[in-house]
Amino acid sequence: MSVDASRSAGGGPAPAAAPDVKTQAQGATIATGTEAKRLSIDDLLYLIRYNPDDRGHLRVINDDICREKCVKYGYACTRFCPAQVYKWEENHVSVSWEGCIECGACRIGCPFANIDWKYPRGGFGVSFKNG
Amino acid sequence: MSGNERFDCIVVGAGPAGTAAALTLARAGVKVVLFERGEFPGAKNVMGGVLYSKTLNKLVPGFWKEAPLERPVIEQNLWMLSSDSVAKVGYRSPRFVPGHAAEGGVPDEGPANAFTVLRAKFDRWFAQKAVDAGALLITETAVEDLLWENGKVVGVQTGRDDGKVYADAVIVTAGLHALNSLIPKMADGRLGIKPEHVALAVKQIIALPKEKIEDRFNLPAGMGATIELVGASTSGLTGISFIYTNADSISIGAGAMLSDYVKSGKHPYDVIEDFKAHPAIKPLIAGGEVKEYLGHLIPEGGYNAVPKLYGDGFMVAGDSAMLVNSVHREGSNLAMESGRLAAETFIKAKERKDYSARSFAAYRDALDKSFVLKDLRKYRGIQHYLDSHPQIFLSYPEMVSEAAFRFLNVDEAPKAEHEKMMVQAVTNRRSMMGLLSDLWAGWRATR
Repeated sequence: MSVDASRSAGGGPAPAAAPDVKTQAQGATIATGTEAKRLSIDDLLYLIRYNPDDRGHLRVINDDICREKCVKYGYACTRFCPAQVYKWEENHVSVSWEGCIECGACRIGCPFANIDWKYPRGGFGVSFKNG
Repeated sequence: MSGNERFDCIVVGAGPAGTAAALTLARAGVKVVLFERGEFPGAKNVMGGVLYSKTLNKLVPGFWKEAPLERPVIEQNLWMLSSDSVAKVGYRSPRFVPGHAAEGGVPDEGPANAFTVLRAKFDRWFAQKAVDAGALLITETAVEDLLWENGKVVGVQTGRDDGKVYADAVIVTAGLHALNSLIPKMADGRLGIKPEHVALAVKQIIALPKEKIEDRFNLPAGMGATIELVGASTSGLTGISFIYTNADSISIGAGAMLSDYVKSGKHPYDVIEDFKAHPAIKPLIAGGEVKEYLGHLIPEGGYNAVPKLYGDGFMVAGDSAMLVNSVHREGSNLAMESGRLAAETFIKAKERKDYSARSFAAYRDALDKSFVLKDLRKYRGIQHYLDSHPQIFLSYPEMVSEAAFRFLNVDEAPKAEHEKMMVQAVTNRRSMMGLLSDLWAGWRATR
């Protein structure tokens, strides 16, 4: 699957390739012998069960700060976010909050405290099957 | 629940700390409400996860006969990975699993020292214990703020319409992020928690048949093993990886300091996929089906980062209080003990009808006397030590690998030469003085 093309920047509709509300994907990889397939972040996100809200809970506060100050970190959040919520798109960081797994690394790890961070509203967001 | 209903005590978050608190309160006849933002308790909760029995067994005696546990842990291992090799130490003992039938029967006496668990299942069961005891559990409800009056916490603002709820006190057990959001005393200017205080961990659940797990890990039927790994398992970041056996899956994950992630620019999902592809790891998970991918922040600030634990009308427990012993991989037991002690403190305060900071100071005293803060105090130097000695995680595993290879490889060179090469393998990477100073500093940091 490819989510990249359909992933929206900040607050748009849920990406078409993301799992539906409260459906759960089957396992992502069947390895043959010892040759396990390397999983991409999109493969991994597809395994997660979400109850997506229609409003975003994450927001970049000031795009200028990303553009002007975060180059030397390679746009930090786009690298360390384990769910690749943040992506560099030409001149700003896009926020696919639908795929957030609510670890909060972006809130603490953004070198410029430039992310307006909240948990999703009660009952929404990620809903782990195993934990 | 109507908007103006009043409780004796509000507990925020149905993880191990919150449920332990609510359970203890409800049993004492306290009118308690337990708020959980997830769809059910456990839906948002992640750990490795090894659960230690002692603390839970105080709260729910005989828990192991009914709780959804994965495997009693009979064996624990530490592996040092170099880029293509592994050095292993481990310990297996039936003393870890007293009363557990060797061939997987239902245990009848004494819990094992530890069990592997999956938190979405375990937390749900545990929270039901609090409900059975009389606590009111309200799920899908986020607590967005504490309500203050005259410098005293008097309730919470929930995300529901008409969402103010009042009580004599609030016990905050809402995870790490409560330090930055619910407890304003921590928000001194910027955020209370720094990237050096947290590890970012990612994990996968990989399904495998029971028999395969037991074959590959050399386990008696029904028993489990844990492996912690240092070295090449975290792609050059300061951190620890793990492999735990569940009933019919493997929990495999990698954790590294968030500050290291920020500096390195690495992707956590690449780190775990690289780890899975290591030649020593691949055969363990071969043929498995990845069922879930998870991520979580672990509070590792240690004793020096423990916040103010109480105030007028509130107490803080679990991850919200930084109560994690990262050296010994303990967290959920510290959470349960701190939640229980906060509840006990509330029960005594209720007798005096005094919910002030002075009254709740007894909570801090109780934690100081318990293993929770005694252990964190013992390791208070460790965070600084590991920060300033990254070689412990990075070059030592390579050093061990090289030395072991020199010692064990048979090539008809005289053994005296081997010994020399072995010493060289070490001293090329770290001088004798450096080694001694690392050892000494490490010993000091844990005293």
